Amino acid sequence: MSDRLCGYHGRMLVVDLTRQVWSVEPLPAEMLRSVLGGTGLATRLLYDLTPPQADPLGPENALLFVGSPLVGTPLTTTSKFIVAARSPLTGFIGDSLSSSHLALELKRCGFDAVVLLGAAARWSTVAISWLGPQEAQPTVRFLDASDLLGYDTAATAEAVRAQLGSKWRVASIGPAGESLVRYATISNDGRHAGRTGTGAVMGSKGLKALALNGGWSVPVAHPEALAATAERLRERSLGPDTAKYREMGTVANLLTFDRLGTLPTRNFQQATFEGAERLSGERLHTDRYVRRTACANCTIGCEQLFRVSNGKRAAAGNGAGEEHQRSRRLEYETLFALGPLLGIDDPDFVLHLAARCDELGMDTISTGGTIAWAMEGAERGVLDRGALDGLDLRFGSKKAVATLVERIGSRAGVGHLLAEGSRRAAAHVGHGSADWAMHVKGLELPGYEPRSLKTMALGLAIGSRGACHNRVPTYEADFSTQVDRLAADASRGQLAAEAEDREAVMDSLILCKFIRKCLDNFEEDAAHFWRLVTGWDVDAAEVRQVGARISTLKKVYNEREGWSRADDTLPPRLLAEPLPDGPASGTALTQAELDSMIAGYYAARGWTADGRVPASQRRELGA
Amino acid sequence: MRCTVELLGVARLRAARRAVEVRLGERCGDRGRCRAATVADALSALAAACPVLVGPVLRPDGRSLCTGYLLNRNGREFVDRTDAPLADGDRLLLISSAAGGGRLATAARW
Repeated sequence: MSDRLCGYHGRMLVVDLTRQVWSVEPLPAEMLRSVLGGTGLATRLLYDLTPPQADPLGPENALLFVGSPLVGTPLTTTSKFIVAARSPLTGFIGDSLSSSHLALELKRCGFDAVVLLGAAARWSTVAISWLGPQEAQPTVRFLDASDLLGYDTAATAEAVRAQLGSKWRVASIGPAGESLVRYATISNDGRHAGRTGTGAVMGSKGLKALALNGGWSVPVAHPEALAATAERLRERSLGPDTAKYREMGTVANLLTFDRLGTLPTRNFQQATFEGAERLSGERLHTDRYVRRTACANCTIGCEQLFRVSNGKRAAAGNGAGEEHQRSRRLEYETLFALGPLLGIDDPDFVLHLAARCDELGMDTISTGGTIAWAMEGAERGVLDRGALDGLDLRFGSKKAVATLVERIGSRAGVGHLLAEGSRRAAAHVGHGSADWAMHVKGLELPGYEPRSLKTMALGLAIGSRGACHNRVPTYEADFSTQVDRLAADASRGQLAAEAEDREAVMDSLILCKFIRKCLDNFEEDAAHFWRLVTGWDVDAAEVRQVGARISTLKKVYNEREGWSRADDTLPPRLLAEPLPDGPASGTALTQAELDSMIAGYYAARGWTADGRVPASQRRELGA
Repeated sequence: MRCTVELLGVARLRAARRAVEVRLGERCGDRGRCRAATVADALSALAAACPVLVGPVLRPDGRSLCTGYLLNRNGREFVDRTDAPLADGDRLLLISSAAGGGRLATAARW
């Protein structure tokens, strides 16, 4: 390995919020090569820097912002970073990707990672600046943010930039993060690190905003070859492999999923939605399309903006532009979670609600999933009006949903219960309501019906951060001729392990998932990119090994935090009730089928029959 | 026989149509052997009905799909062979494949 480090800075900034001190710590090249960056590096640091069983909302939990070797290079879709902490929603690893300018600024600050420990005595903004090698050390300031309390995510960022200057980039929380809503997000550049509640961790540290301003550059080993590769990837990214994302965005999924009987509706009581056409991405584009936007250094531009009819002005003080007041961004998962999952087919309402969740700083999937649990509880008579602050909560009741979102964001009234997420809320309410709490490990399910996507069912059950479509995207096999999506067998375990390892590499390099179809042989192409940037002689075999190492490290972390075999499962409904509707009507997922797939997954990993990582693999990880 | 091709995603936006009903007959060769209509026949009929799809969604031959698109039959099975036979009343869903899965892109080297 060469002494000259390319693609990385080889150091991290560790900030102690309690004592308001900081230090720059080395990140050895051997360690970086073993875990790549992004989620791999975040997992390694989380394991090393937090004590076992640290309270997720206590000062011992670390909050990490981690970059990658590819960020800042000319390769398209690489302006991404990851936020990680022990999740207050699941108790296991919580990691969430976000993108755009903040990723670039993190790299320009001269660090591969920023680690935040402790908790500030008063609400603070931490401002980090390091303009390059001409400055002996970074400047870290702890600024009073008390006057920002109650500001939404965008308003907070705007206020911080007004204070520090427009060159600064900001990650912020909204009222939900301040209130420790367990699925609060961290926002930057209009995007969100959405899942697993890292916004609540940030709130628990009294950190309203993190502001970055840097001037470092990072050398790459083969700049000319990298530029040529970047140009070819750019050209490829403008072709048919990404047409769906460019022309429609992910909202295209909704109607397709409805037709395939894979659209979770009314808290997973149905797999098709009678309002799918009205709410579809196709209708949104025909009736409401405004324009599309892109993250920094992205040539795909998947983010679609849609017009709001009779749009009300956005909340005062958020500084939103005129366009923002008339249009809203929307992704499939938000559309599903605030639409069919709640029995709502009004696109105006969903667009408004999505924007409100963004302003409050709340994960839309967990927001929708938790409200859907409450709706079913109300319809079953388990939650009466008294328990719901007098609200008439039924599937489709928009007024009650709008009120609940506000109350969750401030933990007011019944919002205090729902801010805990569906698992904790069900445990508190009892009366069998855990049977319809649709989560895995505490994380609410995304918009993929597991009974008619059985490889996906496995991916959701074994996911290290809970029910997640991004970390183990086994739906790709189900939506192909590779497998029969309505049947299950032990061979799905190998597919899940391969998909998980591939995503671990993507989330560590980091590359956007939407570029994946532009890569022919993922491991070879990933090795090529990594090699051009770092100069290391990495190959496809090493990339595969790194992916498996990261996946196993996440599992080792979860085991340390109390994981048991019983955590790898699905909600009772999915294992007890056949699908009632759609082209896969009558299809069931049995406990035996799920157990068989899970056993196949453990076997593919070389883990014990009860899913534990054996000592030999632990030794290799230094765990 | 009659089949329906429902257009979803990009195909629907391009064609500005929700669905196309296609009439397909048996193909009989000069030796008297006949074969059932196939997926390729349905795509060919679709190309005739919606020529705007040829190029961005359908290959120039009009009988196969460009990368990025998939077919599903009756909401249950995905179909990747253009010689797969169809039955009367079949409903084909033409999907933007990034809605999940799909074929590998053509080879490229960096």
